[in-house]
Amino acid sequence: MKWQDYLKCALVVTITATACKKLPEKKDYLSNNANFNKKDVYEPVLGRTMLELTQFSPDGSTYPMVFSIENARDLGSGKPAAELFTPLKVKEWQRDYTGLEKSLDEIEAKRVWVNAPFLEIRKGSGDFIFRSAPSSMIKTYPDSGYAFDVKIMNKGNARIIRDFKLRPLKEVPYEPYEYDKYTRQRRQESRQHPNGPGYQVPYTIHPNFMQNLIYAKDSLMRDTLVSVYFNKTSESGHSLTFKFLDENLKPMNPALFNNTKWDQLVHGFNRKQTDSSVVYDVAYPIPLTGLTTPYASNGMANCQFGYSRKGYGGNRVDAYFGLSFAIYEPGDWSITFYFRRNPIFNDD
Amino acid sequence: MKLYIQVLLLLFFIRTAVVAQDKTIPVKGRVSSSVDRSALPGVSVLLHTPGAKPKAIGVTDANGEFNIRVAADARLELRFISFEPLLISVNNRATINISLKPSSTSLKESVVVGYQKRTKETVTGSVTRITAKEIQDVPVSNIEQLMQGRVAGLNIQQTTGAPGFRGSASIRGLSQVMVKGGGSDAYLTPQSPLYVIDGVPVDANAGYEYGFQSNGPGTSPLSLIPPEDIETIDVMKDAEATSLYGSRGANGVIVITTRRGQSAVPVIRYAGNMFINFPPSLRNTIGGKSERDYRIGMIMNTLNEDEINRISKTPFLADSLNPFFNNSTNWQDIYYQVTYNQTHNVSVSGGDQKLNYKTNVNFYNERGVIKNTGFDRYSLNQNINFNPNPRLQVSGYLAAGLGKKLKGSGNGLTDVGAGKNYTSSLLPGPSYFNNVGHFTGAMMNKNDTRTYNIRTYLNIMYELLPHIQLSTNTSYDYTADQEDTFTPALANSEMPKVYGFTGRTNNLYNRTAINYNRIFNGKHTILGAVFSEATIAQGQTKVLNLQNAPNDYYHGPLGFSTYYSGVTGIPAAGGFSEIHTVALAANFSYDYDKKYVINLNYRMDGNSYSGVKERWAKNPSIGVRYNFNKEKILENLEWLDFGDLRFSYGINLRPSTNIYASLGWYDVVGNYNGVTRISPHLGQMPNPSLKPEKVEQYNYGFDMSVFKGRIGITFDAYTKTVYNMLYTRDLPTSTGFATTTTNDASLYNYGYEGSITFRPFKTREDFSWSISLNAAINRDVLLSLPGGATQMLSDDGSMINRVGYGALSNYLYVTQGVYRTDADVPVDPITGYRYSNGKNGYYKAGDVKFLDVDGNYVTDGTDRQVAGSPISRITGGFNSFLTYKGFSLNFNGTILFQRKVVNSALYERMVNLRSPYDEGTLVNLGDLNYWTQPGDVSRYPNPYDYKSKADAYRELQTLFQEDGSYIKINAITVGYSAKRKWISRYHMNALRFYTTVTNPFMFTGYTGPNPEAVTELGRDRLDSYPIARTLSFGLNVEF
Repeated sequence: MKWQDYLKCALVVTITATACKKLPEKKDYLSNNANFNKKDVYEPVLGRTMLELTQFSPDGSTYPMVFSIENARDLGSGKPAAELFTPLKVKEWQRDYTGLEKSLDEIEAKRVWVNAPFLEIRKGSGDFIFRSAPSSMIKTYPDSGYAFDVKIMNKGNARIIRDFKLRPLKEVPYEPYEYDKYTRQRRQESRQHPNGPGYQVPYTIHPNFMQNLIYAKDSLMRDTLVSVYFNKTSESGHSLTFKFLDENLKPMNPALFNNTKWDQLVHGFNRKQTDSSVVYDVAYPIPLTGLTTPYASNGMANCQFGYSRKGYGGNRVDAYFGLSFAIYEPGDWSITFYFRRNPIFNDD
Repeated sequence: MKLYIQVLLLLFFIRTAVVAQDKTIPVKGRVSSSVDRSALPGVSVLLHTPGAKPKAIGVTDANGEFNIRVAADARLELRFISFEPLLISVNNRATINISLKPSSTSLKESVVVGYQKRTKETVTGSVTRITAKEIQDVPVSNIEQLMQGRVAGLNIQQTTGAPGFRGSASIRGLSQVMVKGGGSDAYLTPQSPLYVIDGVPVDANAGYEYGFQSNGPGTSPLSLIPPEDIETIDVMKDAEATSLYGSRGANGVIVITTRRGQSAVPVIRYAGNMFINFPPSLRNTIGGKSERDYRIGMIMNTLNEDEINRISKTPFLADSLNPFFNNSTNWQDIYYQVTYNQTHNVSVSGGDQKLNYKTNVNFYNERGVIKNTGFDRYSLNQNINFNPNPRLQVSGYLAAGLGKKLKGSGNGLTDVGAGKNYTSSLLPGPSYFNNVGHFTGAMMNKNDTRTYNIRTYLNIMYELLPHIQLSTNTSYDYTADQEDTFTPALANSEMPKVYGFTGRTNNLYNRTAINYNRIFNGKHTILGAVFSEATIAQGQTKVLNLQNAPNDYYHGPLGFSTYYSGVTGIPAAGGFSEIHTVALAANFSYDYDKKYVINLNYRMDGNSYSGVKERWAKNPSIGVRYNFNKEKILENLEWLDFGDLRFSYGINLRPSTNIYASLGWYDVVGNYNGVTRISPHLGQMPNPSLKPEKVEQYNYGFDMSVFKGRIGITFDAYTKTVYNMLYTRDLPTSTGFATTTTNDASLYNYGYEGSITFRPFKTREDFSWSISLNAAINRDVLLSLPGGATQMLSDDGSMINRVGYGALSNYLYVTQGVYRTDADVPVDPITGYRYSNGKNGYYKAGDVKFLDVDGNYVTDGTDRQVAGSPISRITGGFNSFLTYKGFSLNFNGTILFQRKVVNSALYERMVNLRSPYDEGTLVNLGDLNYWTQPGDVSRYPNPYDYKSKADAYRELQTLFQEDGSYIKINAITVGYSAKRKWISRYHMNALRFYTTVTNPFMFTGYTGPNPEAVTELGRDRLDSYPIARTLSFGLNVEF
């Protein structure tokens, strides 16, 4: 080749090369301001499985993202906290609970036993899952608890958000609960003397609402005149008993509450009604999910009892009282309503 | 062989020597086209004398005949545009009949680049030409439609079928990525190429740079140019070709040249068309009893007492026995119509090299397929060229046009009445006052909308010294837009409305140049030019909008009623503008024996509307070309006609087109102490450092023609990078301003364009067939976004700009089918809830299955994903020309692949369907594959469950995103040219009949009516104006 040809070749190569452009990396956006709205302190109550919506605010970051828990440690000693990730045998939903199930088996068929750790982060969304774990395994308040970091990744980016605090609380078997969740001391409730100063008494559970119950001709029953007691008689059963005691601690016949829809009282089956109690086979926890059903709303089961009588002047008086409650541990439970004054069931 | 020729030549010379010198003989002759035997008027006859340039000695007349006196041994050359020049010897003949072959190679054509005529051999940029022949047979209101599918890399989409409106046009992919507005109204910052009509730059976008909400007539200046008057269209794609057109050429330049006189005998041409517009297939709907049954069935299905009771409170549903509501109105039939239209064009041209002229008169009348819409064009164009002596050339031009438009009730571009607000077929109701407002609005609006345009130029060229030319070109362009609309009381809440719009834009333009042009030693050609350019463009628009006029019969003059009456004046932003620009440009071109060519260009633009600190935009460019067929080893190859390699590089700077972005504006903001306050406008913060956008392009080209033009190939590869792209940023409220415009984004386009012309058979006198195909592949990559962001969402979050990816994508919920049964819905193992759409919207059988990107069993904003791009990756077209004797069959088409369209229209109609009490038009569910019972596998979710909170029919989901690819036949023409023998009896030169069908077929998988009639952002609006199918009958006569 002549020198002109070399020149031509060189020219062609240079010209072609000049237009090559380094394209930016194909990567997602992960904002530096992406963060969790809550970092300390997570205080899950042990003994129940719950989902803590962390409200991760992505600040425009690209999904899908992968969240993972890193460096979980004991806040006191600084040692890795392996117990948070020890597999536990817990129940998980396989099908959705609707509240329309017709038998215990139908409910149980929707749940399966799985092995899963106490603490988990939902991979895609960053929500925390706390599974039912015993306080014998997990350190609880007043211990300083645990700390961990969360790693966020999307395509081409990774960030670690540090120092989430976790300080679980000991089990609360049922709610409402007579004891303080933290101190485990008996809670106090306020009362007031008629026309007098207020005073404190130890807390007992009362019905949430009470309507038209009277204990004397002109005395409406107040909720403080009824105390409710939760009692677990065995760890292994799956029943729930309702009992009613009069002011003399004598059992009352549930049939007195003649306006009660016994079949819709709780999502239970095989109702056995005697002169002193009503027993259901139930699945625990109660309620099973946070779904609004005929038996539950806002995460609490609602039971309502009532009776009807002819009131003063021949009016029909429908009396009702009810309780919102939750029971988290399986077993044979009873709920006892103790009437400190005998309600009047007779017609006027 | 060589010897033989030498001997022949020798003989020839001997003979000439013998047959007396200086003796001239009269020579008569006739020149015709070898294809159809038609006479060619205006063919230049040049006399060749050894050692001198060929001298023009005559032209053919209207019958293609010439009559000259030359020496008996003279050699003549016949030259005519788009025919191969022919050299013949007189040989003492008194009569010579000659037929010219159409030029099969496109190389010798001259194109206009940088305001200069160049032979294509020396053009280094990427330029494609469309000739008059290709666009002659289709009557259109806007010539842009005719360019569709003709040029690789020029993507023209007829986004609207409204007569007189423009679709979208872009060259080589995206130039802008900023999306403004939301929903179907979202639009891309305009990126139209610059049009230069007979040397005068024209802004084709005039009238509607503000998205869909434009004021006034919105008639593009392109609609005022009669297609019959166009000689050539040159499309320039790369930076080198466009650099001399300055900053406005950054998006590419399209140069339109109108016809000129070229015949000594006046030629009168008539072209007429009668054409019929047929409404295309519309969206299916249902009516009458089936509609009522459908609505009531849906309500009864809810088993909800409140809903069922509502039936009796909704007269048009309940009152089925009332004959007034017992309707089955076919609204489509009322809105749409078949129209009969016509266009006539007469041109008179004549003259010779010294003085030639052309006058073209055009009338175009089209009624749209939607009633009360249409477009009329009246235009008169004249040009005159005068060369009193070889050194002076004066040409002048005057074009006057009037475009009259009927806009119906919409803004014309979209037609609100006919599309969006189709009403239930059970209406109208029983009384005059129960009328359907949008219908009344569409039909009874009195609309008089017109655009006047006067364009004129004067071009003087003077050869001061040999090789040095001075030229100056001054043009003035004045456009006046007027609109008067009267809306009767019935259509406007019992208040007659008067809307008046006046706007004007005028543009004074001057270009003055010195050209130097010389050939040294017959091999070194130098061409140099320096020119200056100055523009003053002014515009002002005014709107008068009066509500509550006295009555329907009194349209003015109007006073002012204080009751519910309002008058709006000049729009706040955009009502007034005045722009001054100056530019200085130089170019230098050198070629060695037409083998090596180099072009250097430089241009500086100063604009009054660019940022005060960045006044000047500088556009340098370079181009080289290597015609390898002139290499010695290739020179003698018989099969190679020509071949070349091209390279160009250039930068175009595009100043901010928004004067307010750089300078801000003042507002009148009430009174203080009795004094009117004027303060800076606080919405948009001016950015005085606003830099011009910088468009850098590389272009690699390759052209080749082989086997005597049987196969021609052009291939271009390019990269186009836009730096400093304007992007509107939101500002913190603490600044007192809402937004500012900055130069923070950049975009990269790369792609390939190829076109191939193919003649399957050897062109014979009575038979020729050529097929050409072109295609362009373009890929865009966003390089950066403001503030280092890697992604940004559009105003309504439906579009996303992502760095490193294609610049524009839909950002949608991903639909993965429909739940067949309740058991198909996933359950959150922790909470025991079904997958839901937020609170209580638990999915069930028949709901749509959205991809749960974050895995939290709730469909929320984080589940949206980049879904597909509305920007087409592959565009192209095809043409075929077949002639056999007098008959011709031509067709052309457009191809578009890899583009996603969001069927917003279906979504909007599904919303209607799911509101049984509202009066909207319904989808014919029979067309959809939807879920009816557990176990059904379907594409669409259960439409009946209108009370569901699952929001299964939301718009922003991939369910409504469809593939918008299509192959479209633009037009098919069958023509017949009458035999000359026959027509010459009637003193005609040419006579041609033809019939054309436009938009006959479209091959597409898209389920809507037309994947082309969608917005630039791929939204199929319910109110889009459908593109008509047209059948036309045409007649061309030439005297």
